[in-house]
Amino acid sequence: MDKNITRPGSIAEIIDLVHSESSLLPIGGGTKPSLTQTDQETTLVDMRGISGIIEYQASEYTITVNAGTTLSDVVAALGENGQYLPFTPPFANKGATIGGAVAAGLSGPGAYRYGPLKDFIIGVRFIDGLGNYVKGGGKVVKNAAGFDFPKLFNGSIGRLGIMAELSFKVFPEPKTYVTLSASFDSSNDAIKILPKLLGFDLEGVELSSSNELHLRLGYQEPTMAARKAGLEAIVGQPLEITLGVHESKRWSSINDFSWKGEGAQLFKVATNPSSANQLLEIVRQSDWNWHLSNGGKSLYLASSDAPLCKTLDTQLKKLHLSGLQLFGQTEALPIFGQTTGLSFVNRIQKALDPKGLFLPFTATAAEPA
Amino acid sequence: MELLPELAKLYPSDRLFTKKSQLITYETDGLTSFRSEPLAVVVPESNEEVIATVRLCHKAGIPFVARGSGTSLSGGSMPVEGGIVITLNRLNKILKIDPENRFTVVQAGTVNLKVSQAVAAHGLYYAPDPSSQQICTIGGNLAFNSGGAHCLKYGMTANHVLAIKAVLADGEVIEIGSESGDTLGPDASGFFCGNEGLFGVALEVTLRLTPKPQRYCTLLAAYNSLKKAGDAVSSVVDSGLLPGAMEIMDRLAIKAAEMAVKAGYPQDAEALLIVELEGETDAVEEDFKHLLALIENTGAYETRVAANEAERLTIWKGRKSAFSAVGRLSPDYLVQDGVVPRSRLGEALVKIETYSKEYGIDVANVFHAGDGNLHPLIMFNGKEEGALHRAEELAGKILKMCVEMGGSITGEHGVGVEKKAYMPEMFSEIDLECMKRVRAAIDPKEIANRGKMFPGGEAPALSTVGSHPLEKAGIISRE
Repeated sequence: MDKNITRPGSIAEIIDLVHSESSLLPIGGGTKPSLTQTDQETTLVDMRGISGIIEYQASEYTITVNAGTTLSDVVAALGENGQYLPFTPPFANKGATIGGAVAAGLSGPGAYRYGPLKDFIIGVRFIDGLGNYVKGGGKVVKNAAGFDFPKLFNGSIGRLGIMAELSFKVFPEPKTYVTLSASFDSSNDAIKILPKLLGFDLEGVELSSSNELHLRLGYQEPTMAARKAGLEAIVGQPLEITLGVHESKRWSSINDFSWKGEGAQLFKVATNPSSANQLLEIVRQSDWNWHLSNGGKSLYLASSDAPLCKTLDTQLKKLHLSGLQLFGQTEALPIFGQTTGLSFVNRIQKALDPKGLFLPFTATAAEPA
Repeated sequence: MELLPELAKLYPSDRLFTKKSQLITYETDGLTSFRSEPLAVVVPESNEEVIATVRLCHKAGIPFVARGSGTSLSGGSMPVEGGIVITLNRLNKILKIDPENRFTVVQAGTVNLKVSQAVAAHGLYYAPDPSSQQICTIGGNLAFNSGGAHCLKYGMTANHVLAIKAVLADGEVIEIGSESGDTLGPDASGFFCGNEGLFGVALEVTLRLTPKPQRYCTLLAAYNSLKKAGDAVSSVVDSGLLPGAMEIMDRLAIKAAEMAVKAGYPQDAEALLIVELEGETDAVEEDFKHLLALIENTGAYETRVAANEAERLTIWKGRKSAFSAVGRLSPDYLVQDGVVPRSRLGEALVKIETYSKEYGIDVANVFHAGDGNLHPLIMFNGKEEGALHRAEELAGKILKMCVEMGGSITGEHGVGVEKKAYMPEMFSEIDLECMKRVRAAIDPKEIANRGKMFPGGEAPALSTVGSHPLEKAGIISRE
């Protein structure tokens, strides 16, 4: 690969790139390769030169960081104060950056408890397609002033502007965790349990393709037995306890997608328990690997079969679902399935990037400027 | 094109108001100091009528504002002078409830509290709870990204909106977001929230439903100084507990609440702190033990624990009615909703007190302490010459202070007409110009809620007419 890649070290250098280049795509750790696949015309902007924590006061429950900061650095800084990014973004062990997590709109199992990344991003500073350095949102947990650019940039896959600075709401993290697991005969049986887990403060609800359901709880010694009994009543079978290093390894393995297999394509589909079950009906007839995350809100599919994307695209359209490709050779736009919402996004993109410097939200390649 | 004859073709005469006597009801909203007269008010009963109305307005270049129950505290639903008011109250059906997948689809005119009531049997509720939730509508909540007392833990309206069907200002109908809540591609529905009616009109909204907590544990602590109450909040935050709500009321607010609803609050307190934990019964009760031990060390001279749901509701009743109660202390008042970093709350309150003395104007304070969201209540008598002007000047000083401390001019009421002059305090010309470009891309004729959010433009008429009639009746309050 002989790609144009440049690593600016300041906002001014990014603005220079906006003025001098004809096509730009920001990239972080490159841990979601389908999102940064480009042709030779596009210059990749390696954001890791814009890194570091700008402002972090634990008692405010907020943190402001440069977009190129690695997730592992953010997680470590928060961890020193017993706090965390409650949406537990994936690939933290693989060099992913916070900007990349936002651009992908990707959350991990933790999203089950308090919501996905989009519920925690409170501020953004970005360079638009005209080279303006623009601020949206703020640095406080509650703010209703102006258009909500922070939300817009969640899932923007580098196509609305170059994020430089990001602010998040953060929360105290449970000091230790415990995982309770059960095996089911079929994914169908396991999925039926998901809507019944009402009122339990779970830190993660994940279902693997071997039909193992993992429930994660913040560990609190005096209440453990009662909570376990409550959950067993719902799950309908005894739950196996995992603690300590084994426990944390299980969840970091989920968050690194180690189940996916080397070289496989990886897709995320936004679902709910019912639509995930419908899609799994189809998946079961193939040799695709899968993992149902966040209590049924995100279905991940992996396969080494080249035509997976096309097949999936057809199926998702039928079920009115949309998907995002994270690994593997992709079309011009890594979003597929139902994409009705993109007409609105395209109108916003024209405002933020009238010259078409960033890649379009259409399946076909951009027309030359 | 003449708009009124076209509207008359669309609406029967009992759903198209053009007479002054009919229009007067719609001249103002929860921000009663401002009012302006619309050209007409329409009462659509279907999405198609809303869409057709917006398209006619676009064609004629006549501004419009969509309105729910008109509880906006920033003038957000006040008419644009000479424009059309599209009232959405009759579009109030709950179209779908899916308890298994925890979402509901409602029309924009659905009242906030009705959503929770409709799904209660499934053990679910709709989390955002602005104080006017008995009457305010989801469409208005969405347009202004409303908050409430539980935002630190649960977030604002935008966090609970999964998908939106809307008509944009130029008549395009869009469907954004998904029932999943996991987004792919830019979070368009999140971006649509808080647009203050500048993008168009939301028609149908898919809302996330939250499982009802198994247990609430609520305490009320009385302090002989505001500082001690503020420090107590810091102790709670530093302990690693995450309360669903933390609220502080000062002496004037306590007095007002007691006069209005007899909540039984300690009357000699300088400050009251309400802290509420909620979640799984066993886990919460355990956490509550830690909380009580911690509060004991914060210098509270009296601590009460709600022993049952009735006692819990009494504690909240006083808090939620505090603002409408202030109407008993003062003929008129302005309320702001600026935000400061939580750890600077104490400093902010001292400054507000200084301003209050400087201007000789009483200011009562009730605030969401967990997220730094202030609600200074600036009392004045509108009949006194220049009193409103002085109150506004004081309000402006408080907003500037919020921005200087690194906060925001509005936590939950939105900018509307009330705070648009302060947008440049928070955003640079470049930031505002970028927002304007987005607006122009969606509403090239600037007809959707023209004159709101962005600084400049025509100023609406100021008046001093006292509280909103619903507020006087204690139905809504200015939180």
